[in-house]
Amino acid sequence: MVFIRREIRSLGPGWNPTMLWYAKGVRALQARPFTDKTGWLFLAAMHGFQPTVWQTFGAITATTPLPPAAVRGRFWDQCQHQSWYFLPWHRGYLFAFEQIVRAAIVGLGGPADWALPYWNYSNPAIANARQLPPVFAAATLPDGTANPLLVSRRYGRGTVPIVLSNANVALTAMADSHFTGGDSDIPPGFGGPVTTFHHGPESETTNGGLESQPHNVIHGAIGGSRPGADPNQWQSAGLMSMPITAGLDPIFWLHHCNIDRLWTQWLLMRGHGNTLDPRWARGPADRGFVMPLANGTEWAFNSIDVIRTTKAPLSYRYDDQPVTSAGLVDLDEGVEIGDEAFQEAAMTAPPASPELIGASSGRIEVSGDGQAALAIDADGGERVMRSMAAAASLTEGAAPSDRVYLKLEGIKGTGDATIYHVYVDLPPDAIPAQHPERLAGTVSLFGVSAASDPDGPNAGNGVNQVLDITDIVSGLGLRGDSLNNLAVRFVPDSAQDARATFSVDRIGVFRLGAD
Amino acid sequence: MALVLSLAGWLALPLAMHGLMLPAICTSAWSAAQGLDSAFTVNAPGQLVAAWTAMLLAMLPPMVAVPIMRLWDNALRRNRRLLVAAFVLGYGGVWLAAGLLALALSGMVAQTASPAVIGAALTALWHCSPARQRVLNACHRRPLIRVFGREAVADALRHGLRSGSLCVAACLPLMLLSARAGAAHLAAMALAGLWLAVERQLPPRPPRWLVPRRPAPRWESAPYALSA
Repeated sequence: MVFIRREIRSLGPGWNPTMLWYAKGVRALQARPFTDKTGWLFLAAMHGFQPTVWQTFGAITATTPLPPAAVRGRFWDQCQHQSWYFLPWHRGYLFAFEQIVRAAIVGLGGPADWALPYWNYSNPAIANARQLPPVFAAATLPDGTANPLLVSRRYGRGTVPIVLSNANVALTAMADSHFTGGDSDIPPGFGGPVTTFHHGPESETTNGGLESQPHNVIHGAIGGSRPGADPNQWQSAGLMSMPITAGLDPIFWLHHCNIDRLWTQWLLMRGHGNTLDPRWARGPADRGFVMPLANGTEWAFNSIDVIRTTKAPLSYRYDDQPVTSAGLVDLDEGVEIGDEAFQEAAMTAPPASPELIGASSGRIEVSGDGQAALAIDADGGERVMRSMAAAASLTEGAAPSDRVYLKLEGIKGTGDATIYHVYVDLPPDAIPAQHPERLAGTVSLFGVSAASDPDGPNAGNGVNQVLDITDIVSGLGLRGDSLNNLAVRFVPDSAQDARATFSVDRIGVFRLGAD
Repeated sequence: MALVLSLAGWLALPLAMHGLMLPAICTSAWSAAQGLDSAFTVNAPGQLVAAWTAMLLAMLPPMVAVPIMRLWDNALRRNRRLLVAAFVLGYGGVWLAAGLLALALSGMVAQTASPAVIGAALTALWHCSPARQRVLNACHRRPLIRVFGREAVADALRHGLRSGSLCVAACLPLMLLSARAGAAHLAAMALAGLWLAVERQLPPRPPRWLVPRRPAPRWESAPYALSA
């Protein structure tokens, strides 16, 4: 059978059967020891684990027995971030969790067709879409017992109930035209940049399109940091705010279910398709992915195994996946999903290499409102403006306009929940909120603290963020201005974010043209 | 490109080392200075430099390929060659200086009772030490390189000097040890070079003493030390 994953608010108000069973399933998983691969803690640790942090947050104690080192080495530390494996790995992870919870629910007498719901926070047609579903904030279940879906380390921006802002739920990534950026991370692509190894210290640690927003931003927007506490201290963070604790919050799974659904939606759009690169299909080169299953066995998989959600073992679809009179529209229809399709053919990636044309003069420290001045090389700026003018002239045969990107390199800090909005070329004294056309993008510091640790997996290089500023730059051209410098402004998402500090090693300006 | 250079180095190495007499063979070396002195007396300086350069060419290009490509991709089009040249100058300069250090050390170790054993023991100790792990972690660091003017060239040069110093610290002891492996030194150096290239790709780890039969520490298992 094909399970149907539904939007949470379409299931009925309050404690509808699906959410009540989810709560009971979560409770059952939470009763299992850390050594149980189908337990709540083990599943959360597959996303991220840190003994000091978990003990401080009360998830485990100093004497909680850990699974054996060999098991930890095999299952933990698999999570894929800043990588083109981000979407397929999380899909497999989500599937494993769903079927483990379903088995627990069936064991408690629940429905065999239970499927994980998703939270569609971006749909303005849904009333209160941006508000945390109330069942996650209720103190008790209908029978008066404690609600396992309620978590005290979930702060949002200090309001009760937690409500996400419009800016945070924006779906700009859906307009990304390519799944991955080819051999460069500019742009990184909807699915994320190429990384051939499981954790390659030489890879650029650049957030992918969908990963950046809404994924990273929503993590920080839900988790937040404790009101009144220092947002730069990890002890203040909400569970969802850091990759090493995010899997402990039951809302994590509904958030990722939505992210997975957005992948299916992106594929339905004209011209979009997954990469045909065999390294993605069968990678990473040094280590495949493996998940525990409810029946005690393991499931080893690569990206190629999770492309079609309706195919076994995944066997699910989303309630908004179109069904025509001919039957269910299968994504990637018309593309042979076999090894033969993954040839050394040209990838659907931008053909040119990005070229640096300007940058900030040095490191930028941000605390509250931040500013940076970017100098643009005369020759590079000139070429961009000429290409934009030529494209705008609509002359037959004119090449498409250059695209222009900002790359925030080496974002470092310790406040993972932090969210900032980046504006470019704002007039002096302008109120940012009145200039949405100058918003380059929203940056979340999800995962930045681990990436800033010199002994950590990213060797202290921090994280990179690439923002498309083509429209902003072409606006400059239309006003008759030339491109010799750009002003960047960092605007905190809230008063709490304004207290966070972080640094950016360099902001580079890159052009991507036909030459 | 890096592999081509490396291959050229490996081919040149036996030729360059032919007839070289290193201080271990010369029993009259009593100190570092005398070691250097005797090395230069017994061998033509040109040949020593040629041998050292051939070894650098054989073993180093795969190590610097990525930093150089990154420097290239992140520089203004008109500055690329200049910045890469500055990097190579800094990097190569450190290694040439390391060559002199190596000769001096060879002289000092040669006069001890069992130079091979002492050399191997010291190298093993260094390879298990947290200090070396810090060096390896630092190898993965991508420093800030500014874009315009003299600052860009200075940053690239500094990057080369820093990378070279880290490389020397991480790799020189094992390279020296393998170069003294008698008749099999070329094979030993090839193996050492291969191992060092593989090690360069491993992810960073918390700096701890590596103890036999104890698994290497992982970031996920170590106490969380990062603070604001």
